[in-house]
This record gives sequence, C-alpha cells and structure tokens, in this order.
Amino acid sequence: MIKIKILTDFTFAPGARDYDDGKDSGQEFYENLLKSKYEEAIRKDLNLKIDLDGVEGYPSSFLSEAFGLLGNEFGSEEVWSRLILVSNEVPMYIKKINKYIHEKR
Amino acid sequence: MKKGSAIILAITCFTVGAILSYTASQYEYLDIKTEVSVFDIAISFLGLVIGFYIAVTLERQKNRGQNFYAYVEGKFDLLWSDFIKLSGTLDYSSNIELVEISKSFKEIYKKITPLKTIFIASDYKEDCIITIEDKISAFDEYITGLESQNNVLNIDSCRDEIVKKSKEINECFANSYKSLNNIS
Repeated sequence: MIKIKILTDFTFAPGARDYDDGKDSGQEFYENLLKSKYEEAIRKDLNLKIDLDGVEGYPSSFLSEAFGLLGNEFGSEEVWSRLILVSNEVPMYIKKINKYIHEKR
Repeated sequence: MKKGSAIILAITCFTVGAILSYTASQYEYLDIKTEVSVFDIAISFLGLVIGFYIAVTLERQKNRGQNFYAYVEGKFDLLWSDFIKLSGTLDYSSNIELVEISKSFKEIYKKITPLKTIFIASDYKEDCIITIEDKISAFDEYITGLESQNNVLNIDSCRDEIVKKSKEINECFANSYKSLNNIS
C-alpha cells in the first residue's frame, strides 16, 4: 500500500486553493505529492492511503483543489475506489473529499 | 419530584379514585347497597392496574428525556460557544490567517460529529443537528474558498454576507436549543 501522511509528508497547516493564494496550497499538494503517489499506486496496482489527521485543519479550497484535480484527471470512480482515507479526528473531511472528487470541474 | 414519591402519589390517587368510583357505583337513588359486587371490584382493580402502568410509563419517559438532555446539553453548549467565538472573530477582523479559520472549523466539526451520532442513535429528531452541520459546512466552504494572499484572508469586501450567514447559523442554534429544551 502506498501511503501519504499529510502532517509529516506535506505540512501541518494546509493552505488555500492554488499557488496565487500562498504556500502549501491544494494545487501544490496535488502536483508535488498526491499525483505522483497516485500514479505509483496505479502502476503497482495498490491502494493509496491518505492520513488526514494531525494537521491544524483543512480549508475547503485546499481539499476541493487537490482532490478535484485528482478526480478530474484519473476519473472519479476509479480514484474513489483506490483511495483509503483516514480521518479519525474529523470524519466529515472524508465526506467533503468524496464530494470534491465527484464534482465536475 | 422524586421517582418514589411520584409512584406513591399515583398509587394513592388511583386507589382513592377506585374506592370513590366503587362507592358511587353502589348508590342507587341514595340507597347504599350492602352487598359487594365481584364484577365491580374486578373492574375497579383493573382500572387501578392500568392507571399504575400509565403512571410508571410516563415517569420513565420523562426520566429518559431528562437523562438525554443532561448528556447532550453540555456538548451542545460547547459547540455553540465555539461557533460564537469564530463568528465574533469574523465580525471584527479584516485580515485573518487561513490556518486560524481552519483550526476553528476543525474544532467545530470535532464537536458536531459525536453530537450527531448521539442524536441519530437516540429516538429524538436529529434534524436540528444535521441542519447546523450542513450550514456550518457551507459557511466553511464560503469563507475558506475566498481568495487569499499568503494564506491570509481579507474579508472586508464580503463582511455583510459573512455576518448574514453567521447570524443564520446562530438562529439555527437558538432554534435547536429550544427543541432541546422541549425534550427535558
């Protein structure tokens, strides 16, 4: 299984939507980490586990951009079936990510 | 009133009622019958048993509501006070760090989830907490979706909209609090 723990692999304070909004944005997360890990998961035919716990909180724009781009590029159903999301602190983030992955952009 | 006292009162009332009913049923043009009717006694006894059952059931229901209210009220208060803090910050600040807003929403979500689970698991209507969750989630999307510079939001240009949405959510909290009070 391929793993991403956002707190240790990316940041403790996720930013906003894209590079124009500031550092640690959803776009930066997607382009620098999420996309490559997802492609690796596809290559090895494994699940991608993303641990969302431990950070200060996720702006909706961060989640929308990162997971919206992922769903848009790789197909929402394929992405949703490959991801394993861990969010014990705020399970609602999983609900939001599901929505953003399936949203048409 | 204590549970024991309520039961004794209920038994007393129904006993007195049964005796009065029985006595009254024995009057016939002001002549008191001296014989005892087994049928009437049986009916009176049945009335007493049914009355007792109703009293105990009502008492249990009331206690259940009070226990639920006591458990949920504290959690609901904490949730509301977190939202009041956030809306106060949004009312008075011009520039707010995105991370502070995200932290506040995270704390709010952490409190909503167990409350929602408690409401759904109980027989009480969970509409109020679901409405609050939906409205707060939409509010989060609106605010954290605003353009930022170096992860700092300037909310001056949309303050009216923010204040309006925040007021709506506070009204929703107030209505839910009223519904919660009805449970007790």
